Amino acid sequence: MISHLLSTKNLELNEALEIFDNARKFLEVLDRPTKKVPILKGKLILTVFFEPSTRTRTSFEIAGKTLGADVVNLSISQSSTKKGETIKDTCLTLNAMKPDCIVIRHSVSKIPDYITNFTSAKIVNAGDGSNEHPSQALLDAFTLLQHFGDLSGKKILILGDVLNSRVARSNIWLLKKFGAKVSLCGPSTLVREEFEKEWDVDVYWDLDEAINDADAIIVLRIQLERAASAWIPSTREYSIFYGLNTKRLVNNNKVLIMHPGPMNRGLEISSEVADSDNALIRKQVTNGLAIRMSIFYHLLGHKVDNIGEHLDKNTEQRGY
Amino acid sequence: MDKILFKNILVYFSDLSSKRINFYLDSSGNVNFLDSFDMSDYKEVVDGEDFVVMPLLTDVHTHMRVPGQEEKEDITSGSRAAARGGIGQIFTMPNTKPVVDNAYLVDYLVSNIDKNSSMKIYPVGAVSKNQAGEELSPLLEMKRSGAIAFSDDGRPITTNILRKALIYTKTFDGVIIDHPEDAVLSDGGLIHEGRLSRAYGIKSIPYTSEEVCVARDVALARETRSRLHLAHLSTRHSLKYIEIAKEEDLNVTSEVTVNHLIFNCENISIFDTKFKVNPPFREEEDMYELFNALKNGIIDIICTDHAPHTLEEKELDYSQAPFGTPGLETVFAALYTHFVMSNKCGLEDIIKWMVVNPSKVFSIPVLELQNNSKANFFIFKKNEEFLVEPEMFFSKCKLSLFLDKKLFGFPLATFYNGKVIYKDNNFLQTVKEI
Repeated sequence: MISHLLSTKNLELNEALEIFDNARKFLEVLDRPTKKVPILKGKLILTVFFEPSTRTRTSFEIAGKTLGADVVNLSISQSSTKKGETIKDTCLTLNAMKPDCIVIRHSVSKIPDYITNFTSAKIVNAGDGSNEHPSQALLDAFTLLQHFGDLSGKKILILGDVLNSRVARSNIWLLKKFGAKVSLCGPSTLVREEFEKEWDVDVYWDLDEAINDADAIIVLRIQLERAASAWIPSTREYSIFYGLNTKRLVNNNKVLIMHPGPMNRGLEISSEVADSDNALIRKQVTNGLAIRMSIFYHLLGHKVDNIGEHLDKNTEQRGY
Repeated sequence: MDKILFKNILVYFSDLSSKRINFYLDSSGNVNFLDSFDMSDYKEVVDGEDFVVMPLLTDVHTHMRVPGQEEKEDITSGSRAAARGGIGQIFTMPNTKPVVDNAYLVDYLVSNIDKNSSMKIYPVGAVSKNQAGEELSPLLEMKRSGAIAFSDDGRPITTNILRKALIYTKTFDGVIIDHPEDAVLSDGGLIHEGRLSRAYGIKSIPYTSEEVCVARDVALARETRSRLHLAHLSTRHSLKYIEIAKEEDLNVTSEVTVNHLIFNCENISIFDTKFKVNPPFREEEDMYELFNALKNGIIDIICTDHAPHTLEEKELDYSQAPFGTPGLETVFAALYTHFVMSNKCGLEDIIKWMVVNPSKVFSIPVLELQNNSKANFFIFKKNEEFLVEPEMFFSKCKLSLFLDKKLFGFPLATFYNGKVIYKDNNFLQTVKEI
């Protein structure tokens, strides 16, 4: 069993499947009129975000609270470290608050791994630099599995700023474990030629070619400052060549569309595509909640061997 | 000092010869070669097949952090660290606080060194005022005060200032040392741009960041025919430009750090701030090609780029921790262990790269064992292994890249100008360090 959730690269397939199995049960919980399963009652979860985030942190917060844990959100300005506090000191201070789990987001790759040295809490990586965002990848794979049943041989296209994307990396490592055929598309500054060999993926710089036989497209958010720092010539040029719109999907109108949000409508994705029946973007958000509940359960509540049994018991107690 | 006999010792000289000789040190620290001897005349005898005497090494690239950052290093701690490593002469870089960009600060450094150093330290002056790359520093005045060369190390010299500096220093045979890096291409990068930077999404420094600057520097050296030394090369791609410079007989020389010959981006822990250096550790192939370039005479010198920082700074996260790692104490042992013991090079080569060539390029004396002269040498024992531990460092920064590793070839004693400036506790019981 995993002791922290730091990466999908090191996650075993059976661990991911176990997280999915429980997530399915938690999805059912989320549909109940009273969404509270006190499996983690008495547990303290800290969400520690060194960079701004609303949706990911809220998702973790709701997940923890739904399971009965106490969730405390801390926003730590990066300026505290700029003033000389080391990340080690910050973590030792947090650990002294005796949390059971710390959900951390940091702008530097691998910081969550590093802080496991200084805390006794379970660490959940909620995004580190451009490295990984494992809970996002788990919810993406879960969402795809809901639709396809099996990802073996499915062509999943990741579109956009792969170079600087933590979502892309976690997705690539995880989807490949499920046998999916991962391809990448974007301008060559952001989808480097070397990815093909190093990551065993297909690389496309022509979106129309890449879309052809894709079963699903994960559209990545384009950071507007990328144009300013010359990774792309302009947002206009990007939207012309790499923006996903209905015209482009004419020959492949069954393809599933995903996006980790928040979307730049009209830049990387048109409103018609984002709001189409093929788009699973809202579904991803709900699944994200169930996946994060399952991650907490996996890390903090596993002494209850049979989650189904526990859930049933709670159901009985509430008179369902 | 009581008379000490060194019996049947293998001695290496700067003409790259070596022979077994007997010599003694008298009470004034003078060396006297002997044909025959009576052991009873000596208070102590160093007797053994396994001892080797070497000329004192020169490190042309050190950060002593004086003035202004004495919490990282000072002249006393830095010179003792150098002595521990068998080094007798070092160049200290000017990217201090304040920057050494005027004769007053060079004078201050010279006086501080006279008072506090156990060996020779040469100040390097900044090429541009405050290293801003806009105005030339008073180079000639700094040279007269004792600056050995000029550099904006820590950052590249701007193109305009480099051209002017090369033209200006030609009249007095000054040497400009450049840190070849295109800051725009480096763009805040933390590690080498390659497989690992792509795998973990880390801001990275491409090969071309160094290569384009080396190409520019060689072009300016060709135009001016002045003396240019390129600091801490890291990539194989830079070497072709140096090769052209050598073929054209330009006054271009270069150095590589000992660390870049031993470490590459694949054999280090990339998130361990000890290994955060600039230029970054490149690929295995670069490591081999840099060593080949030394063997072929394309690169002239091995240096340490000793860059100490406080533990607190190095415990910041990887993006915020400063670049740099120390290396004075370990340079020789690392080279001996990694290259001499595996027959990749001989001790003569080390002497060429750390004694003879620094002396030629920067017109400084060679310090070696000479009859009827003050003792200048260090001695080590061939098969003696040391576990590298923080306690063995005199530098204020004890975050060595070699911590917990075993190295051979650590000096047992270092003599400078007739005095013992470092000695192992178990060696030469009758003498004391100064």
